[in-house]
Amino acid sequence: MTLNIYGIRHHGVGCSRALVDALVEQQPDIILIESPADAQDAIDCLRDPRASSKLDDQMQTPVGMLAYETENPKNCVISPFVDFSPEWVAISYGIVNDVEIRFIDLPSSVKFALSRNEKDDDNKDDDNKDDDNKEDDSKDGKAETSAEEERKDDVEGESEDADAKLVGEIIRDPIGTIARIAGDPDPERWEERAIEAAVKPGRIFPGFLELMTELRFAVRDAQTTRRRSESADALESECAEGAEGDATDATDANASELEKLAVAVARQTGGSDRDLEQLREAHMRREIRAALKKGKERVAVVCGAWHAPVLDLETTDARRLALIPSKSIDDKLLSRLPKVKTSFSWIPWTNSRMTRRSGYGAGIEAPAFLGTIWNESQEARTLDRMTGRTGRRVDSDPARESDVSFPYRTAVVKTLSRAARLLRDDGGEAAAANVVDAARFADTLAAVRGRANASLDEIRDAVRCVFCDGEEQAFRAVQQRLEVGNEIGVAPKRTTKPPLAKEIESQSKKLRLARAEEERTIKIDTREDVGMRKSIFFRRLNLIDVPWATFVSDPYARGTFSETWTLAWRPEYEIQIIDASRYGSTLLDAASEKTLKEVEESTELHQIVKIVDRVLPAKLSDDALGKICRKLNDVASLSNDVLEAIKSIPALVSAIRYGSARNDFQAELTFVFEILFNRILDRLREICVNIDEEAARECVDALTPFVDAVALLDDREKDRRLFDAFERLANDVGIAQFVAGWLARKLHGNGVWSEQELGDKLRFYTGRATNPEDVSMWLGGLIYGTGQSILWLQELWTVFDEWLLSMDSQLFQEQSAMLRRAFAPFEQAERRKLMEVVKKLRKDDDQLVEDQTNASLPQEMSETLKFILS
Amino acid sequence: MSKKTLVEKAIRNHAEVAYASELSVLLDEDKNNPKPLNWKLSPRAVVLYLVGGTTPRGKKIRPKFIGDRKLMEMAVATLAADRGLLLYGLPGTGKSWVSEHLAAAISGDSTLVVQGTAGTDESVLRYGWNYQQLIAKGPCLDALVPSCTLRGMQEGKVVRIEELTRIPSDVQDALISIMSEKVVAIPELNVERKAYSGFNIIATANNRDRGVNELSSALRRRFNTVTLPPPETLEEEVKIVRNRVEELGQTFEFPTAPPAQEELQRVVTIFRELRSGVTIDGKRVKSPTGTLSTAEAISVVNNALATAGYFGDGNLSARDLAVGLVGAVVQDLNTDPAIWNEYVENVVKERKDWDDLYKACKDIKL
Repeated sequence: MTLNIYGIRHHGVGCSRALVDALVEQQPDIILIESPADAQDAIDCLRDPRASSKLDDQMQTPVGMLAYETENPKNCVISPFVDFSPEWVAISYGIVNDVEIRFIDLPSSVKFALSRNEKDDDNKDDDNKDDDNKEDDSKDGKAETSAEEERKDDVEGESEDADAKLVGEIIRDPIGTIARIAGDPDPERWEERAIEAAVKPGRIFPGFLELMTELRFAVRDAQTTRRRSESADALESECAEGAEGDATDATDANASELEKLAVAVARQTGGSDRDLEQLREAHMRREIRAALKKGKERVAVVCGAWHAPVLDLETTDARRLALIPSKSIDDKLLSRLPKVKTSFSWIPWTNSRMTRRSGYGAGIEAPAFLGTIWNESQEARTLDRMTGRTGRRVDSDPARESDVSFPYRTAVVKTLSRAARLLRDDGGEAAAANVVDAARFADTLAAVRGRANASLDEIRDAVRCVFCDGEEQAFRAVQQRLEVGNEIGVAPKRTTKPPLAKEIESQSKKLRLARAEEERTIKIDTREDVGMRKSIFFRRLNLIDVPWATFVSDPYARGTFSETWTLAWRPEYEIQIIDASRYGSTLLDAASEKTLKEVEESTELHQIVKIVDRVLPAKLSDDALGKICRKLNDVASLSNDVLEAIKSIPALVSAIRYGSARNDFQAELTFVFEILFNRILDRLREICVNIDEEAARECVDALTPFVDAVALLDDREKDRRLFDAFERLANDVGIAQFVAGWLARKLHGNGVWSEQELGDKLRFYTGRATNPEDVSMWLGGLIYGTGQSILWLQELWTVFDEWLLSMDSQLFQEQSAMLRRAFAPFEQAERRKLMEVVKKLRKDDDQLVEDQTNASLPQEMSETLKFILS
Repeated sequence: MSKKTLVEKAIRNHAEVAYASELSVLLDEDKNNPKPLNWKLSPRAVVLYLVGGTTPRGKKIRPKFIGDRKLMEMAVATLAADRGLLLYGLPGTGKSWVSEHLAAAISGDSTLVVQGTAGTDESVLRYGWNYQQLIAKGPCLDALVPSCTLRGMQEGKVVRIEELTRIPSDVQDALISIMSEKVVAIPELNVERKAYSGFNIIATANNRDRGVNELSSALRRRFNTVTLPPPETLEEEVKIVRNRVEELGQTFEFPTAPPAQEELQRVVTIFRELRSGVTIDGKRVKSPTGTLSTAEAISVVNNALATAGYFGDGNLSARDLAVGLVGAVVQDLNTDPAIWNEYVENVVKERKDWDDLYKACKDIKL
């Protein structure tokens, strides 16, 4: 009877390769995997519905296993898998070879319950009776340890933190931490090297086991030293009740006694991480014992490397046995654990999300690159033969079979060649010959750095150096696609969908909306019930970042009841929906929660106003809307920024006009509008003084929609106040001329100033013997964004003409550039029209200035002008 | 006058002479390491020589390049992989310096240099003729004058081409066949000359000059480009300046005390602020037209040391620095004086310990 513990690194290519060989050699009759025990049934979803010894043929990695609290789907954990995840390899092997598979980790139902109880600790929740004792202990323990810690903090504070941090890192990713300590920043490569060193594949796991054992001893020693002083106090308090043994003399104490002590102290101090780890390990041991008892002959256990030493129940090494708690301790630990109802689901996942932290800890940096290495390996092909997948592989190569590092070297070349292709697709130059050079360069660089194989570092340097001419930017443009990749997985057919996804699917069915990838446009009438529901559905989807439908603004639509939407489904949206599950299990809830969170996090007024505008037509709950409006009110009152206020008005007006049916919100929004409007009118001058050209343009760009929005409100009183303010400002000589010009035009456009007055204004400017630059700027503002109507202002152009002629040639030269810029917004046709106007003006005047070399108007006109004027 | 040999009297010796002791130590310890054919040192030893550190047997090596080690690794790996190396970057970032030391370390000879100018012609890259012999004996090997490129090819050594982009494009392209086929044909004599292992090209190019002849893409892709960035942090740049000033100080033997750390920091801070357009407190300042590179900072300090030694009291003062600073910053007399004045009034004046510098700068009339 053999018990083989395969301690692996999550998503480790080297480990997956070794695992395939190991399983083939061992031919296990049961495979135990470190995954939540209550997810056991989810394994069946992976099987082909017609043949249980085949994998579902629709399924493609990356996929994830979603575990969520049934009543509260916001609490969820995703465990992702890619092709080269050792657990995935183990599951696939088990399914296609008809081997029993069991998940043996602590059930998610317990993990969720425990994490919830931790949060409730302070609230003294009585959700679970079991926790009462735990809580009381922890309170006492905490009091003791905090005093102790305060004393030690001065002395050992820093080193303790560093130690604790290191311990945490080791537990999470032991192989990675060791690789880093060994000086290799790339754990993959370190892993490869460790495997290359092994002659027979079966030897890598015993090697890891030994390594982890030593690591455990080292960590335990570090922890025990700390706990000794903690537990000394804890014990003293128990001494009165007759606790056994004095921790300070425990140097010779039995190792298992120490372990017991550690367990007890851990529970007392409520060190949750360690506590959880111990529960998990106890649970896994229990499952292993059960399997052995059942009479299994060849047991294979696939678990994280850190856990391997304490799962090796059949070891004969006394030192190692000392690390492993007995059955009775385990049973005690696992007694009366809290649970909550939990559901599981297989979901598609993406390569880019593999870079994130997950249930497995840190993400992987370069999934596409690692995938290439895996695809080239002999072991992957062995597995493929078993599972019957042939799609992705290339023809066999004898070198692949004999050379362990073959996949590494091929992956380098393939990645470089892919980089060249990506650069060419982007329009750059990357010759095929350069790929050869780059590959050689990468190998040489690896040698110079003392590494056996080129890896990601060297690939990056080679791409930068050889293809991108040393430029960082060009490299970054392809880096994401090159290293991470765009793969999107497909979930197996039989899985149940998470609640939010289910609800959205059922709503789409009711509304007869099919998920098609090709774009199509639909028109809806919100006066109809169905149309209204569709509109709300689309808007809520957009609020959770699923832009399945995008709003098309139709200039010909009359009224606001007719809406045009463009629909195009993308596979990523499915994953986006799953992401949004943490906000709620119905679309309404998720949209509300997410929006509230966004509102809470935003500090800028115009951001919040935009959110309000989006939210009202989505008809979120009154509660949510109320909160949002309140936040808007708060920010509006506190904000001091006039420009912000101006930028916020258009969206606010749009919201007010929409919300006309819901009186309570309209009142709130109108109130905010009043605050902002008054503030703007009072302080408009502030943003118009002491600003350069760019800022002036920005100011006008913000004012234009502002004016239009206010006009929409159709409020005479407000209009009057606005234009009064504008007039005061336009007459103010201290403000930026560009803005003044624009104001002048607005005032003319709204009938406040006549053409005569406009001309007078220009005369005023040109009359002053100061900066002609001012005039150019003023004209620029006048013309900015205007239509042809301005051309017909005779009075204006006459004054302008007079002024031009009055300038001496040098001044004219200096100003010509500026004037050209002022006239830049004019289109060709408009310029020609202006020419005609000038012609008419000039017709009667024969007096010319000889030195008028270049016209201030565009180049094309200068010759014609010369012709006219000569 | 101290008794110095001709070699010691030279203002600046070649790297392989100036650092001969380091190179011989490295050579000694390198005996068992694999080396590319005709290389004096192994690639790792070359990297050690460039970035500095300690040899396995404990001898200290001064750093020649202060910056990201990875860049040096890439440069050496390029040459080891038989690709041309193009050192690219702003002026004054150490390209020619690194090129010289690479050549010294790899081939033991940094003298095979082609200086690129607008007047460079093909004979500098291929060969020329000794006209007297040519007329006397007609076309023959005796009349041939090999360029240093050709000599490098035949001796298996590294050839340096400085300012590659100043060389006219048609002449640049002569490099293409040299680099791909590693051969120079001499049609007049109906022979060809092959390159031997150890031959490689290190080119340097500026990306800020006018009158630049961009490399054709055929030529560009025969080079690996390593961009040397300007020093990233203040500390790094001060270190570079200090190192170089000390070395130059030994050559020139100024009768001055070595500059204090604060002085160097002041100079480098001023350079960095003007270069980047923003002060360390985050205020914006205008940048003058000059490049204000690290190399210029080194000159400014040297100037100041000389002035202090020969015209002052032997201690570096703000006055000595000010003259050099102004000279480095004000290049274009139309725009730079205003920028400099603004900087002095807005930044130098505001700094607590910079009164002496402020006064000194104000005293210089522009």
